[in-house]
Amino acid sequence: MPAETITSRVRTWLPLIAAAGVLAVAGVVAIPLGGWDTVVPESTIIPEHPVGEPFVSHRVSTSIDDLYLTDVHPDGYSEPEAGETFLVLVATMESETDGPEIPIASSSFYPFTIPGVIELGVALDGTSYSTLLERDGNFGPVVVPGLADTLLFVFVVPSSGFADGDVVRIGLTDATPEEADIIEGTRWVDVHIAVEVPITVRDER
Amino acid sequence: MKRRGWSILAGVALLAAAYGVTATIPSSELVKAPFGVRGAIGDRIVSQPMIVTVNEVFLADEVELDLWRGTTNGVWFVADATIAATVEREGVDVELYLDGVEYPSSSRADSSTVDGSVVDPGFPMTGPILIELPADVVDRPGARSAVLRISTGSDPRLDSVIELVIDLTQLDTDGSVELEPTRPGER
Repeated sequence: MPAETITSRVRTWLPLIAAAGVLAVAGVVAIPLGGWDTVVPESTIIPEHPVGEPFVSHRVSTSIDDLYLTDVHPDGYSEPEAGETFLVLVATMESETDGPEIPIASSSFYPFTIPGVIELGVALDGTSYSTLLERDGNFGPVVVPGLADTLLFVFVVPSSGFADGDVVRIGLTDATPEEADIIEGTRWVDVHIAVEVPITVRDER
Repeated sequence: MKRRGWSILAGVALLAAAYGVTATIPSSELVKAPFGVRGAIGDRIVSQPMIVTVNEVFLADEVELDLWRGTTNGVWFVADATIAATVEREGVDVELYLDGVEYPSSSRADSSTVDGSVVDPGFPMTGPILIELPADVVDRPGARSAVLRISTGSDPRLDSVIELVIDLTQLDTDGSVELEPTRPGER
């Protein structure tokens, strides 16, 4: 085969040869770096936050204190339906704005999330939960600036939904306040889960 | 040449004036702010929808009202007020402002407080107002000039509201106080 023909063929295949070479080198370099598995970008990893420590968002500060199952509602008289029980989240909260805040107001900005129970953008059935002030059992408390109070969030959940020892990752949310155009007050944008609090469920049933 | 100098000067002055106008446009909040009718403790203060006399104010660590015992992690601001409507039935809404920070009256005592109730013309009601404040409230900015606002509870924008400026640092702080629930008539 004439040398000219070989050179011509190599020239024809040169792009493919170069690409194969790059892939081979990349493959070798990737081995000590953990290979080419899909990785979660650092920016999407939600940091963990400890139980009992306040997380300060732009709206409220929240400390997740306890999470337990009970058949006895903290109000002393409500009873669960058959096949249901109460999941009680104990949290200490305080308003971080210039006024009072209703802990669970808009579904677009719940202060916390519990997988399968309370999630951003999913409206809660008004009969499926209640909020009480731990101190005196008063319903529907608001939180104000500079005055931390411990609240009980009581959710109706299936009896088999959670078990003693389950680790639940409570999401604590945050958002950016903007002055609202149409209504008076604040509009919250970029609502997201800022930290997660892994907490072990206790069963008091 | 002199004319051109004056023109430039006039242009700069107009630009400065335009900037000044833009920079001093009041915010929507200010434009729609309620009209405060101010008075002092013991005054009969008349706004467009209501007549109010705040008889006394003090701080307390704990309050008792009927069978309800009000504890707090902070301190209670307690007022005793006589309130009547001027024209038609009105709701009563109360807040305390400290340096722009709003503290609402507490609804924890249910219907035993005068705030949160309704009042009619010619039938004054007298009762307590309870507001939970941080324990260190007297050390907070605005404590010397807190504003107690009493309104009809509906949207207060451009409405007539009653305001009293109160120096919280001068108030007595009681331990546990038994309060008289809301009752008809003046004090």
